[in-house]
Amino acid sequence: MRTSRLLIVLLVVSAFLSYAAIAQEMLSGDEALTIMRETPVNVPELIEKVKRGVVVVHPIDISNIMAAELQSLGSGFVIDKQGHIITNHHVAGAASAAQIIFWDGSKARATRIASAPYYDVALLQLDDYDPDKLYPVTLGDSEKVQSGDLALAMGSPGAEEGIAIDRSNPFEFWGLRQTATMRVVTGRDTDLSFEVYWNFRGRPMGLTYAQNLPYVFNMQVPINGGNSGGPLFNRHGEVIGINSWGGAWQLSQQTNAAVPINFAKNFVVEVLEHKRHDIPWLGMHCIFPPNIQEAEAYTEFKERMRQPGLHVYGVEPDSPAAVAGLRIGDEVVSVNGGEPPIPEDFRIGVLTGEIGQEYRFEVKRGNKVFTVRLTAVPKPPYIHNFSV
Amino acid sequence: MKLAKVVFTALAIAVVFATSAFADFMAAEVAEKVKPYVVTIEGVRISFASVSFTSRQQRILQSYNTGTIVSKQGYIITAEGALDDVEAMEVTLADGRKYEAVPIVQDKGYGIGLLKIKNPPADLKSVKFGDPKRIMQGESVVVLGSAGGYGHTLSYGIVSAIRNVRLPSGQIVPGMIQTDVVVNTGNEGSPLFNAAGEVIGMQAVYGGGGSMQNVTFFMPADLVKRVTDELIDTEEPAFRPWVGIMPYAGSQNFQGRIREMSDDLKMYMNLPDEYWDVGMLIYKVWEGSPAYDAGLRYQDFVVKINGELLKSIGQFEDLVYNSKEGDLMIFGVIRRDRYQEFEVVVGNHPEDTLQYYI
Amino acid sequence: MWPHARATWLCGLLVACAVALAAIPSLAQDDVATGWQLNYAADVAARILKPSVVFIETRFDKPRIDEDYAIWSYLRGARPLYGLYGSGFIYKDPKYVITAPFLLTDAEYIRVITYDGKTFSAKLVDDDDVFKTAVLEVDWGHDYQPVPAQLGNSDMLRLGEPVSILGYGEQGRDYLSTVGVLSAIRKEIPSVDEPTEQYIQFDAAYQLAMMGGPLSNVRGEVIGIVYGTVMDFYQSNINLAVPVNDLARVADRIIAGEAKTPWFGAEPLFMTDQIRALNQVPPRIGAGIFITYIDPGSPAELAGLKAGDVIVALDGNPIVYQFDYSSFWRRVDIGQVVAVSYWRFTPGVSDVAGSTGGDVFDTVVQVLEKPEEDDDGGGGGMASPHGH
Repeated sequence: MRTSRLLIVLLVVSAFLSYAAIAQEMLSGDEALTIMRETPVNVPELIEKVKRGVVVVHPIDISNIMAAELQSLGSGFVIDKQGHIITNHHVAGAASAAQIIFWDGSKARATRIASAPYYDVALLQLDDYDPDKLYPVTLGDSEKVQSGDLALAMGSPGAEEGIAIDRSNPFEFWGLRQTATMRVVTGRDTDLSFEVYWNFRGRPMGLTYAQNLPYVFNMQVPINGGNSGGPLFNRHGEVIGINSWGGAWQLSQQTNAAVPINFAKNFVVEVLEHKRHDIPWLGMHCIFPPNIQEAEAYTEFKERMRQPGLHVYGVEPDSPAAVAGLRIGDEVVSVNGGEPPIPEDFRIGVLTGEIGQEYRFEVKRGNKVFTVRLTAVPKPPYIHNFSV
Repeated sequence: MKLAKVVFTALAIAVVFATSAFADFMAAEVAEKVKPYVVTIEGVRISFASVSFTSRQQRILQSYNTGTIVSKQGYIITAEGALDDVEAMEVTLADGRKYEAVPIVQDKGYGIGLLKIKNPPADLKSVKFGDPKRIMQGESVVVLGSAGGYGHTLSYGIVSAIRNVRLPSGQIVPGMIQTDVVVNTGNEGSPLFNAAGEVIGMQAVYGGGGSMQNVTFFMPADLVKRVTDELIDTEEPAFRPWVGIMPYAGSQNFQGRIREMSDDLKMYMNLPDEYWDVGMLIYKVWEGSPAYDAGLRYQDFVVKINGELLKSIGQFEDLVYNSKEGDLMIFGVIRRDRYQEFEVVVGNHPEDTLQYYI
Repeated sequence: MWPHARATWLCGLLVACAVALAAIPSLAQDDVATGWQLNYAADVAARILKPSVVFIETRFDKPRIDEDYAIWSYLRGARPLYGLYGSGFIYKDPKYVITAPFLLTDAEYIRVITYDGKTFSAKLVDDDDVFKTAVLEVDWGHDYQPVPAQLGNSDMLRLGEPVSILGYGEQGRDYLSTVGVLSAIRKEIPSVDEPTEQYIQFDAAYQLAMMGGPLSNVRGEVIGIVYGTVMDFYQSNINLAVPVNDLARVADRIIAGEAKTPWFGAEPLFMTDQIRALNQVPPRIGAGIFITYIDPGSPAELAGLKAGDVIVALDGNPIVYQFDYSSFWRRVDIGQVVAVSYWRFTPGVSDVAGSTGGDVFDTVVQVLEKPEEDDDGGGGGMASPHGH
């Protein structure tokens, strides 16, 4: 009996020793241990769970029925059992209807009910559907996303490199549909840019479509033309972004952008409830003058001509800034009693604020310092520039 | 009883350590495990460059590719392009040893090239092919190759999808593995490894550069194994079933990809109702091919094969792909408003690249 | 008392198995098909290293459109460049920040911005072009507590190890991290002419402003700094980093103010077939360094070496690659004693193989400090290999 007890003790001890050895080998530091244990990711299971909500969006250009070829191809995702689908504005915004292809190849038609070029989000509604056959995705919270978070993108990149896809079904060429790619969210991109490096079918997809996003997610997850509008999932299978644009070259590898989902959620909720969506606006140009059109001129302006502090570089007519009497050349020395934020942060502050929010500026013009009050109003939809 | 106790204890301890060994499974482990199976192939070609009107200079071009060791006798497979016009080939193993190799055969249909090390060392290790049917979308995979000419470079990704893809030669590959691994020139012939270190695919189609990020294709291991075995056996390109028909392509868009017939064309052809949703229009028949010998011609409308209604070109292609040499395929065809049947004997796809002929 | 011995055994076995299974971290229960540790690499590294990664911005004395900055100029449409930007990390001695030397070329002002947006000025202490390390001394002031980064051990790196790089976006505001694997540990790049050292190749996506940023392993320890990428149209994600062990050695030397160069005094030439034939080196001497010139008064002369000798081993390590020789001398300390094995042609002595005469001899060399006047970049200085 003594021998067997000894052997049992040996077993237990060896179990703990091997555990200790593993823990030692793989991780060091409690912090690393905790982070890595949070949720081990089983990627195939994750894909099985979410893939049925991902669709192909083929906007139908009704102005040219004879050319009902592939005009543009994008991805999208189903968000509820009422047949709503989210995609990018630059995919579906120019058409009033789209053909939707589901994960199993079945097709349906959807109408575009709203789109926001300034967020690059479009909302579609399926015309005829069976709610039981819809598998909506779960929308997550993009505010919680941190640099380095695992991200999975699904969509249908177009096979532009000439890779011939079998067409077992008629009209099969919908890109490499249900493609999954996975890397990480690199971080937030609060920078403004005019160009993107990637053109789909020779069309430049500038950021003019999304000029009112406070920030986008810069991500390493590889996407290509056709992935636009598709969902970006976190490790829990919640959608945290909409894959929107990107590019890669040697000095900027896999630099892709996703619209954070909170802005899309905000847009969809407002549109479905109130049939409109507005963003707050003061009407002043605080980052660079309105006449700058080229990315290089903007870069040079930032480096050479930009003065420290918050300056007014332009005032839109009939805007709160115009009404308050602000002029080009004014310097804002205090915002709401505090230090003036850098122009980029000021822009983000206004965009994430409320309509009707009041701002109190202390403005310096020449030798005089005076106070003005502004109230944010809804931004007029015909204004397509970087004024805030 | 004493012995049983000892045995039980030993088993228990073994279980404990085995399960703990399982915990150590990481990318670095797989990399170490699979390194011996991958080689860098250096191919030397002599080309002639014109220096002036009267003289030409001999230039020696080197190219780097990746190869996978498939047999202890020294057989290595790679992309067939690596063997184009080579004068000499040298193979470098993971530990740095170099060996001279000779090209055996280039299979341009499947894109696989076979070479053999002249005097292979006794400790040469060959790969174990995994079962591609068990591959799941999302599974982590690793590529080891000589990306950019730099030997034994590792990159990783997940399986993006598994789909049917047509190779540049026109050969359809069902179950091609699409991944988001970054590969570069020099990676042609790189094997694709799963977490267990088994080869589940081989890169045959060139990828890298260009405008697409991280979309790379690997031929599935079962096809690679079948073709490789045949290449080693016969030293001739592998058999590719063929009948010699080019289906109607509709408008020649998408680089001439084959498409289904449009409704207007069907109306023009005056098809009876029962054949409205089925069928494939024959656009061209290659002279001397099995279909030509059987009597099929341009504008024949195929509605049945082997008694079953033909719903799409893909179905026809699958039937051809799965047939063997000498198989009989009975084509039910409508010609000038009359139904006729033709017997076609499946043959071998000729060497020339007749891409759009199935 | 237990009624049956066998029952005890079975119970013990079950207990042991249960303990073993429970003891294994949940990570280990991942199925073969699931995500590996690399899924967590960026996550962990980004969180742990965030306070230690800084953004570095420089200003030139005057705007430049030099050839050297071609890439930056190209991005800006050939407009003048006012400074460079990149990343770096706070060294274990927190007064210093380590980055890549290229960022500091022609810099008149250097600014360091930390993760919480605070700006500090810095000056260059020194840099090492061979090991691609630059050390900056930062004026943190009295209030700021810089957080030094943990360094890992680059000698323990393995092929396939998950790595991540950390840095900032071009504006210095957005903290970014990307993930990848260690692709290879290289000793020379076939197509690059400049002298190379051992470096790490990895495939984590590199973005322009990440130059100089740290390369981290899965535990959040710095294992290198990113210094560049292979620029070739058809290649992508072939990125390079200096291993941290080399970096730390150089940085420590720079910080301690040791500007002295170790001196051996032999002009090296890696043995080729031509040299072999001309000097009748027998085939059994597989590889080595042919000495073309011995500096007068140098340690090599004092040890009895002569021009025409072929060095075949240093401290017992045989010379196989050119790199083995040059990297050895870059790592010695002044005063260190090194055992050198060399082959010398001796007429009249016939070789066992019967081809030529000569034998391998051993001697001992003490490394001295390089004399000041030898600054022409040639003549035996081991710190400036002539493109070897």
